[in-house]
Amino acid sequence: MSKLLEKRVFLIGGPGGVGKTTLAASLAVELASQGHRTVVLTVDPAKRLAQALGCESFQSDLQKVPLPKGELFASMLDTQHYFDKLIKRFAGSPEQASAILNHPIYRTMVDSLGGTHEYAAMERLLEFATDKQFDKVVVDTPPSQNALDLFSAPERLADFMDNSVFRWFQGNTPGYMKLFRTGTKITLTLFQKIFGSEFMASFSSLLENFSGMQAGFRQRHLDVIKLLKGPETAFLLVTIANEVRFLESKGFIQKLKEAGIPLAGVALNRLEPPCPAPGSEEGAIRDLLHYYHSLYEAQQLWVERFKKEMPEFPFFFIPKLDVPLSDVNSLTQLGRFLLK
Amino acid sequence: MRRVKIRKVRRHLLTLSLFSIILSPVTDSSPSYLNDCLKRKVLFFTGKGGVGKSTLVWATARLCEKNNKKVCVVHWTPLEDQEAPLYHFPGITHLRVDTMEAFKEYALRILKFEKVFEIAFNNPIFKTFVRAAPGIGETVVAGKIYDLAQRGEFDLILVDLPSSGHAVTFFKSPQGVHKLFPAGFIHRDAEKILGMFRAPTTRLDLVTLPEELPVTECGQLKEQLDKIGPYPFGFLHINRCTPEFENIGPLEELKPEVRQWAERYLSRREEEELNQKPLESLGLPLLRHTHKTPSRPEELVDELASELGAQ
Repeated sequence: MSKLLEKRVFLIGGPGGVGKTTLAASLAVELASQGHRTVVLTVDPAKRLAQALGCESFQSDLQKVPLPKGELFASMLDTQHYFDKLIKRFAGSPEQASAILNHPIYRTMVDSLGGTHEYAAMERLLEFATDKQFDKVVVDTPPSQNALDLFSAPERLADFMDNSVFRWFQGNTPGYMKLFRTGTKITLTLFQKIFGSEFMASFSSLLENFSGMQAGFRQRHLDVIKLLKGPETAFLLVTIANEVRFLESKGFIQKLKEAGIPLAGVALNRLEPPCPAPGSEEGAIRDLLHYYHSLYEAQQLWVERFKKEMPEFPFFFIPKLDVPLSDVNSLTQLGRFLLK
Repeated sequence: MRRVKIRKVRRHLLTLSLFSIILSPVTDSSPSYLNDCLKRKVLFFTGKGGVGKSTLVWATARLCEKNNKKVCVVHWTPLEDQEAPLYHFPGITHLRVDTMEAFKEYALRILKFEKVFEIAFNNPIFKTFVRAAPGIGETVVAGKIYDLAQRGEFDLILVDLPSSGHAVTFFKSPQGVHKLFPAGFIHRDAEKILGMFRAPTTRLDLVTLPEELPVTECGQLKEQLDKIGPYPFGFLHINRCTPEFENIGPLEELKPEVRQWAERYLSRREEEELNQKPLESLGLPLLRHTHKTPSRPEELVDELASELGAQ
């Protein structure tokens, strides 16, 4: 039996376009059908995946997935909606919350400020992980080439909202930082020249609104790291056996190592089945076999490279589905490859 | 007075004719990829992560370089330590743009004293701000590309943009910057950048795969860009398509172990076609590139370049 089954929280990470969302859903379906009350959080799911699960579409509120066997709940990540909710939670008063939510810079920033999607995903992860009504929690993560982007999002936001940033903008650096004052003045002059004084005033007012909230964000960062390092959690890297993905994965794993976050395994997704080299066949059929054979050969080179350079992790080999995703059965099939 | 008017009319006529010359190959039913590329000055490529954008950028660069163009490939990584596989081809200049560096260069032009920057840039709050403030990074990067195009050192600049979300922010940035920063240097520069985005010598290509999610995302990207556009859209590339094998004959006559591959081929072709359907309504000329499996990445670029040359 797979060691993975002993875990409670599953994080599915990796770069964009490797099939993370589908694998997360498959794992959740398989866990649920084994009798665990499971919840899955998806990011940007395909319509076909929702339909395969028997839902017209995914919603940000928790919804029950109709399965022939087992209990499964699904939720979709809606960053904007969720972020607004967080601001309301961490704000000291409803007035403070609405001042931020209606601030023109905040509105443009929720989408473009790096890390908001990652932050929302990490927040929901914490929420589900502490919710005892679920036996298993599966979280699909936003595409990230760099693992640290994912985990450090709360910390980066706290940095941004930090009181010292605001004080700095106001020019009120504390006494012990006097040495830096000259630098501050120069930087502020530079900012004024580049961005204009109107923006600077508006930005400064947003920072003022954030004051007092950074402690909440900092605590969340610590909670996320604790959860990720905990014995209940399994972080799985989903990737594909080709050169680009290999290089990305190496970088990803390196960053995990530096942060001291354990990796539960590497899932090589969408593997082509072995195709024999053409024998006596002729014409188009010969070309066709040759094509699939060379696809397989090229892929195997990278499968070997993965195994050779990452010997410390268990590998999961997930074959490419021959038929398009159509129902729960095809998902269960995929999920089993992770729990074998 | 009159002279000015005549000049104005002339200029309009010239612009019109330029427009028709440049746009005609794009709207033509059989567009020639190479001919179109040779008429441009700046080519942008964007699409979902992992769809083979960089390979396409390099293949196009290779094709144009072989046709006596002096080309420069610009690779923008929004995050400082992002990894990207790099190709090396003699004769093609490669420029990797880092947001922070681009900002530094930009600021240097304004204040002109390097020492001042060293002090400002060593300030941690400065970094947080540049990284977090909306559209600033994108604008300075776009500004760098604008300068590069203005300098005229290269005939053609190919820009490998980061994945879709970043690309929308990138194209939106001059407008956003205009609104957010009612004064300051960055306000004035936004105008110039907008001009470059909309110039007929600029082209924006989208890249996708014959799979459901990349196709959906490509449609959404086009829709978002249309809302803030217009932009000079060029081609829509569909990478890694299963090649076509004509006349594979009746399946019944095949040996079972061969037959399963023929069936797999047919069902994949069918699925790819189904997946691609929504792309037809986007109104861009589609270019399909077959899935190739060379052993070296540089070979992949060259194989794709020769395929592009024939399209």
